[in-house]
Amino acid sequence: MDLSVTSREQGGRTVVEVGGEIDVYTAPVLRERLNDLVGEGRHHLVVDMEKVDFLDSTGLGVLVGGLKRVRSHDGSLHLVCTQEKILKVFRITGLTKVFPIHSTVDDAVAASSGESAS
Amino acid sequence: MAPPSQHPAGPGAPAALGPVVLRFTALPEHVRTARLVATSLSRRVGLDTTDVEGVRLAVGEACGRAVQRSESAGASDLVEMVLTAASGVLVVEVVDGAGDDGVESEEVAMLLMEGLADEVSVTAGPGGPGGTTRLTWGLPTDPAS
Repeated sequence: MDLSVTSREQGGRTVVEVGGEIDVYTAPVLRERLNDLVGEGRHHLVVDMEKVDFLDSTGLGVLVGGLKRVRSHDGSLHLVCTQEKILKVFRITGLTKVFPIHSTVDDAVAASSGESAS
Repeated sequence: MAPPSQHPAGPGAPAALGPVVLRFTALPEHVRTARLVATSLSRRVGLDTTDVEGVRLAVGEACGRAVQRSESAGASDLVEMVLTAASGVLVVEVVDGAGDDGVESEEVAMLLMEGLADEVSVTAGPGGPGGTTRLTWGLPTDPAS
């Protein structure tokens, strides 16, 4: 498996650290983990993409699905990403307008906490 | 280290390499392998880092599309990827055996391919409409040669 997903709590938010390649083969694993977290009542997610080496359209689909899911619980999904090659994927598909994207986990947690009480 | 082998090339044109062909079972597991092959060749023919990343992603989308079409159509044919670097362009053709039954991938995949390759076309494959994705990148000309 070329994908790793770990999660931890920080400032009342759930930080999901993703590493490796998110593609047509591995994306279902990420979808399952996000679904599990939301199922456990974690509705404010910060997905840290800094260790992601590759992201394709199925990976984007999983992130959009996660966003829809948390929003249905009045939650939020923020991304952390500074890698140009990954940002480009969001830019080409117009998803920079859909996801709040931050430079650091601390920024993302602060922004997430600022927009709604946990 | 031995010097790289010399290739006959026209004036200012990169060396023409013979095609590379990869055929694989239509499984998501194999898409990464296809990406690695395409990435390796695109480096070999001199694409810059940004374009190599573009090839990696666009070829992944094309192969993922072929796999999903094949799975949805129940087509058992191998997916075929043909890479050709000649006449100043890198062409990657991905062909699946699914026809009309192949469910079209999401619009996002097409957006990415169009955003990353110089040219994208989808035409018929052996199984019917939509079975061939063709991606093209212009190769850098080498003024030193």
